[in-house]
Amino acid sequence: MIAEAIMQMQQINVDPVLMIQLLVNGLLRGSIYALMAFGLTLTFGIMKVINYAHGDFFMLGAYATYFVIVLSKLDFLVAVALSGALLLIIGIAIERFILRPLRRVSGSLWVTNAFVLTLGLSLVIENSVLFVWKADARIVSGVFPGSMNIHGVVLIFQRLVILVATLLVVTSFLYFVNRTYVGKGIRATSENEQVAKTLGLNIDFLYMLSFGIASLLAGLAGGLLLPLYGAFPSVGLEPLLKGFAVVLIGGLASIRGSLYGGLLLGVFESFATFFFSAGWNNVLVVVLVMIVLLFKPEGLFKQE
Amino acid sequence: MKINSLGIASPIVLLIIIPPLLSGNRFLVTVLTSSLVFSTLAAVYDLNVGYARIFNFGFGAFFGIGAYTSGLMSFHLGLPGWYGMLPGAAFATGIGFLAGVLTLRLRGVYVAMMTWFLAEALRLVFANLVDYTRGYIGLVVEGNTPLNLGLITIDPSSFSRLPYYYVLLALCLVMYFVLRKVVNSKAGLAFKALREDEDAAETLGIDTTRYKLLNFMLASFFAGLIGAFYANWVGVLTPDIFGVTLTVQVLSTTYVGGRGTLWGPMVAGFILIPFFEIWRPFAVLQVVVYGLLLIVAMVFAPRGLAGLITSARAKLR
Amino acid sequence: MSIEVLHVTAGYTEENPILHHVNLKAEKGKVTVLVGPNGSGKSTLLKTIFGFLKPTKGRILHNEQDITGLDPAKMLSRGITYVMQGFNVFTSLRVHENLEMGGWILRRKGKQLKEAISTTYSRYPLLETRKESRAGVLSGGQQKTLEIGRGLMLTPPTILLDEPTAGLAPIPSEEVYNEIEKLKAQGYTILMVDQNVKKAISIADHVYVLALGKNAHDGPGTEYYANIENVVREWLYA
Repeated sequence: MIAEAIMQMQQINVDPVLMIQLLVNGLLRGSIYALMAFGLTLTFGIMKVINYAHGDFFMLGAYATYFVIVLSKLDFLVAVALSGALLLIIGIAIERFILRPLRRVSGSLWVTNAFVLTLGLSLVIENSVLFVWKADARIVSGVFPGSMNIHGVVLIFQRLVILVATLLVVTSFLYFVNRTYVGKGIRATSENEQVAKTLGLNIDFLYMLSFGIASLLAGLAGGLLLPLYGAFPSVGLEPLLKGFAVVLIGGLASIRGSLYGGLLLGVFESFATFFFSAGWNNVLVVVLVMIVLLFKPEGLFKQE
Repeated sequence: MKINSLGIASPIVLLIIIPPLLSGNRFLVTVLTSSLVFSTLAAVYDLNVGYARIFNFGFGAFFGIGAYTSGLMSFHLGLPGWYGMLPGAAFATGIGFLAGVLTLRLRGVYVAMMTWFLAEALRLVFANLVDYTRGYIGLVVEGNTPLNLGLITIDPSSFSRLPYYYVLLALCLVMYFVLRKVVNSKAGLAFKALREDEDAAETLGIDTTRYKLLNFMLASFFAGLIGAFYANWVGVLTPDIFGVTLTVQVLSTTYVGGRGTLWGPMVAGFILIPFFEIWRPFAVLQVVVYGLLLIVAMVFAPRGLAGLITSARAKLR
Repeated sequence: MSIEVLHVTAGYTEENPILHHVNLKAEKGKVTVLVGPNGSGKSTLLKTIFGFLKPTKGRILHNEQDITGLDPAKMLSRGITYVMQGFNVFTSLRVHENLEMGGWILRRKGKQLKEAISTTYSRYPLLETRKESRAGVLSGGQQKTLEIGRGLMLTPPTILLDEPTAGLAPIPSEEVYNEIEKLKAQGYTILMVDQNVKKAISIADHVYVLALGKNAHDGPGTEYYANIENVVREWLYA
């Protein structure tokens, strides 16, 4: 296996066309990972919730986008936006009606209790979907078909559109969290909730909003990847795992860690997948996480 | 919590005498065996999560290593599956030790993360090494060779699969009593100290490293043993047994049954598994129900079934 | 605005109250200082006034209105600000943004918010010069100034201060006490907990001594100041 990889590397030399394509691919994966990681960071930072159901929000986003496209013939990007809105509402509802009551009764064991709770939630959501819509993958075709050729670099429109849209979402989120009043309020509360209270910040509202936004981000990611992955009940598992890998390496409460970690992981994977089969590069990622946990459990980036 | 000897003896007697009465009914014996597997796994898991509050989210790894060791020995070496039981438990204990070492300096949810990723790593490795393990194609285990124990011969190929059941029952009874002994011993006290306050335990001179490793190794030994049995009984293995699905089912059973009691998870297993087996048409919803029960238990009955039973008995006094 | 604590019993758990039938009055426009040995419950009293703990017995009045057990997030709009012990700036936000957090309640009123911020800058010019710096890189004294400025963004008439000079070097400490006297001159009501007994008493109008969660002694600041060595010896090494 390693011998094959080396042979391939020697064959390639440094073909710029290939490099660019791998890079573009890597940025696409990376920005999706960053979106997943943002959601996890957001909820952990402000609410200390490690959301195991995050992958299921991704999956619901994929299904929602699918159904909107199939049933209403609306444009792909519009469908994605609508399913994002749906996920925002679902996230807010879950925080308000499931997380908040548990939080009131949990006391100091909140962090682990919440994890187990989101675990239960994930089971319910994923398997309900499995029951209702069965396991077959739903696929959409014909989304931004075609490609263009620039000096030998073949760029598939679909991927380009998805990449641009994803980067747009990433930038919007960063803008929200760094420049808007409410976004800064969320960061302030993540850092020091007691003090935030003394200044009159509405903590309950910020909790709901954060969870809703996390859900929104995951849902958008799922929707945007619909043309590439399809929609099936366990489509969110890999994004969940990768999202966790990013936040564990980058730091559970660090937004910058999520951004850089996500992009780096995406690009790294893109290049690695070319040389190793997908199964092994996943092992690599998993082992990397374990190493970081072993030596720097708080992650590589400081908390924000 | 003390159950009088009748409380312990009667279920055991029932478990022993009922199956032959059903010997025509292979399905029911299978259900009982399945229940026994999961109940005991849940009790073993209680050692991790209930007694020492070690959030082992990679429990499937121990079970899986035990199963695959036995299966691979049978597949590659042609040995009857039973030969793989002790090696299976041994390798599982090795993984348990590894898990303990990796999580030594970690706390709370981070332990869950590390163990989760460890199990995932194993799952991926076993899935990728298709040439050796058959990956997701499935590893077929030939367990149907009779086991000659001198005075008696256990012939698993008998239609009702009763011999499997009795071997497992014997195994589980022994395991349960060993667990009970451990939990009531000095080690058990150390575990409880770890659960309450790890730092305080350190200052009291309790060697937390030793007891954490011990806890992991015990749990993994038993889980590996059951895993090896499982490989022979079920006959086919895929890397999914390393994964979260199995861990989560065990976890739910333990949480719903009542952490820190040992008997709570066993009771829960004997209620949940038959319930799901009987409602086969809704098998897919099975996991949904696990999830709902978990949520409900966490919010309304944090001490689980065992807690509810105990308080009910107290009220009836 | 005055604060009255009437026969308050409170603690972190019901079985173990830390405060027992505590009485205190912080007069409007005056500096009231609360001192006492470690563990006597001083910080707990401030937390109880601000609503982080709910008293099991007794009442708390602010400006004659009952605020017993009110949610902390509502206190600022009632006119009470709480500068907590230690360093509590939002380190990942800039100085400017910290002040914005202080003005959260005004966040939809852009003009008023801007005015509040520029008023704060004119009072504390230091903050303006560092306004783009992340709060975490400021020195201890600068952070404390930021905390006070942030807490006063909405000019609440009543200020709770918990050991405002803890962890500060002598010069910044002195500046904090000067600032407190300036605030008093501007008409603020100040209730302050302090371990820096001599200095605190020297600027106090009224002093309360708390020991083991109960009122031990109280009186005008001048009385205590005159007798300062005895006070320190008798009540604080109890």
